[in-house]
Amino acid sequence: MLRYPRPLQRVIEELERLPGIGPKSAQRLAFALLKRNPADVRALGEALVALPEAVTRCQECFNYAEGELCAVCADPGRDRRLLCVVAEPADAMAIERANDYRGLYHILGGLLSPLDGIGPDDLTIAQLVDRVSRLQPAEVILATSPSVEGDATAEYLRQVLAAAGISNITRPALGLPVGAELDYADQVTLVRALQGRRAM
Amino acid sequence: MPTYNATGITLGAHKYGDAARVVTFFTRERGKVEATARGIGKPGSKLAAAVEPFTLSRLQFAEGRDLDRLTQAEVLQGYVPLRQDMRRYAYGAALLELTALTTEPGQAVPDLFEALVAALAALAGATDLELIFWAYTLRLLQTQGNAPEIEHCVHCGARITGQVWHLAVEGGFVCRDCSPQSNGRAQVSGAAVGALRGLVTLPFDRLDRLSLSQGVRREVGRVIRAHLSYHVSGELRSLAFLDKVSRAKGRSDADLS
Repeated sequence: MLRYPRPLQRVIEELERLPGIGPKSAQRLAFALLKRNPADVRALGEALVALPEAVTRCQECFNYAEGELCAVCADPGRDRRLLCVVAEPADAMAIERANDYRGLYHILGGLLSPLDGIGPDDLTIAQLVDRVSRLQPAEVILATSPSVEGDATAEYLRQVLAAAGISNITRPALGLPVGAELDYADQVTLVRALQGRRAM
Repeated sequence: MPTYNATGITLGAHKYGDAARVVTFFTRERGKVEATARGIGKPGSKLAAAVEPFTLSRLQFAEGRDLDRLTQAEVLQGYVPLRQDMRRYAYGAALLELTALTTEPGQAVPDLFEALVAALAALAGATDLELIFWAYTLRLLQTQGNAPEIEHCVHCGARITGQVWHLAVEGGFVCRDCSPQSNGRAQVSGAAVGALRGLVTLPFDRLDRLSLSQGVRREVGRVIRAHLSYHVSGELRSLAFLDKVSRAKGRSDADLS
């Protein structure tokens, strides 16, 4: 019976372990690598090998970093009176891309989820409380997604932070997305959009 | 591609690719339905609100070869208070988890669907959340034919009065005439049996009328837990989560005091 050479089979098996990659996709990617310039494949391999040691977690905010601190925490120009709490590094990156916010971040590492069994001790909530006690920020922004899990996590954090003496706790405005048609908006979004209405 | 409509509650969803989800609904018409929902992570998605857990929606699905596809959704009720209180959130999740564990695709259980809608609505406003969880658990076991027999002795059929014995494997209570000794069964007071009757008969929005002493509450909890663990395998993650939150909060309150 014809089998793939062992090094190729190993690459296929390793690729299959990645999220969203099935057996066929893994096979296709492995063949694509074989067809590429060997120097390119070597560069990819070197980048992958360096990944676990080169990328660490920032000791302050738990975002990805190259040293002890991430680029934001190490930047003296950031506004240390503002702390934005997000679920994942990708959320902080999305806010950075908007190019408006100049404060610090705190990465929770996920959201509280009864259905997935993720409790407060599985996230960086204790570290957040410790950090706000040290930093005493003027405002903590709870920028978790406006989902059931995101809302519940934000509400839990509000209680914990309020108990720790933080008074100015905010949540990004929620409502109708840009370009949306009103008659297509769902009940939850409409209620929130009306609750958060502003004077013109 | 043929389509069908249903009214359903979202039990849960997991990511499928970048912006799609595989969503599990419990519908009035078809029982559990698993379907893909595309474009969910994108702002302005018309389906995003309907795939959030707890949401009651009118849904349209297109039949697929493996999984059906959610094509339209109109949110009827979002149960917003469940997002704003960790205990309501956890108990609501426990109702969804229990439903997902015990229902099957294509098998409609309209009574259970109505019970879930009523239980979620009650959870949004009630003060005693545990009673709602217990009442729903008993009604769920009833629809499966696994609820404890609370009217008659499971041995002689006599109507139950006063103290009785309980063992989940026997399906209910044994009167003292049939078994003067415990024989491995737990003792249950007449008040606890009365409370169990209230839990299966009272509407969800009137469960707050049941005023249980701590002792009766412990007995009722023990009976329900015994039946639940006998008929539903595995620990409910949502209840374990509730313990985790209570422990973490207790610790942070202690640290701050």
